[in-house]
Amino acid sequence: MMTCHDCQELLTDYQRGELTADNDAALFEHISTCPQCRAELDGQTELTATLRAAFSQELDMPASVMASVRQSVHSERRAAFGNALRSWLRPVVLAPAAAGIVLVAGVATYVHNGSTPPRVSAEYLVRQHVVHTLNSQSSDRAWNAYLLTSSTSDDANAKTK
Amino acid sequence: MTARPSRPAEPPSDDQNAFLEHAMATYGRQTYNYAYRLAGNEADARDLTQEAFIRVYRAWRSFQPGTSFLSWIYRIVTNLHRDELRKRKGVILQELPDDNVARELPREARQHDPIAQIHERQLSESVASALARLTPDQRAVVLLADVEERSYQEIADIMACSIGTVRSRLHRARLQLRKMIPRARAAEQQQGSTA
Repeated sequence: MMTCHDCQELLTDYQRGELTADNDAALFEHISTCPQCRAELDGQTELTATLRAAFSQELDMPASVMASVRQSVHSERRAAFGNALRSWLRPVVLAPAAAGIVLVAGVATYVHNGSTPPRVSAEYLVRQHVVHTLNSQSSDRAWNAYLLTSSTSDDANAKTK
Repeated sequence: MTARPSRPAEPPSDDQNAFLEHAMATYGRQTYNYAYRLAGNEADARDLTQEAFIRVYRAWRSFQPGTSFLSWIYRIVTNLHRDELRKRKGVILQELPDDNVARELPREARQHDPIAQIHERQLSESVASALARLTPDQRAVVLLADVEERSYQEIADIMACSIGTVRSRLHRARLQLRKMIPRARAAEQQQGSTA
């Protein structure tokens, strides 16, 4: 059996529909037979109605609020970009980064220069070859001269045929 | 209003902007109305709403999909309001004891209470003056429970407290309001008849 003291403790929950089914039924039984608790419940219901009436007006969010939020956010974005840039330009970051770039550039230059042969013209190579062949100690100079010029002679003979 | 850190916690992005715009378009009205009811005047409601959405922008990644965005931003507004009142009054507002009874401040004292003055200008004076005498947490619980019609669980999530604490605050706040509002109404009527 629910007492008035129990009822008073649970009236707010009852009014809000937050009681368990058992308690809800017990409280319903109690207030149907207890004018004092019934009056207390009516008082709570009236308070809720008063508060809802006082705040019944729904207002639109002013456009100036949205504009101010956007402005603040925009300022923060710019500040964040500036801070990021400044943090990259700090000597403690910039010096190692510059050293790294110089190191990478130096290694790349070294590797590039070591692997590529010097550029020499074809005409120079042919002339060197002819001079080397003509000066060879172990061969006949006349035969060498013939070898060096025979292809031209053969080509000329082929053209005349 | 409240002091802001010098830069956001994470780099800004287009997604972050889209999140903010969607939040303002969808929940701006409800957030502003809650802030207005909590603060009791439009100027503070504007500041609270603006600051709340800036916090949303900064902390957008901490929002968990599937949870209530409204509960999240109500929690932000509630905390901002509580902090603001503490700053203005210069004291830490404490929960009233269980045996606390409503007390009617003399009119001279109310004239020096900025919160009471603001409420009285904007809302129904009887309700406003009664609400102004509640602690910020009690005021928030009453508004969430009776005006916003939130469940105990939702209020507990918003206030970051237990359901038991919500019930206790609501119970005490209602007791005070039921005593204060009729007194304030009687005083209003008396003033009206003498004027």
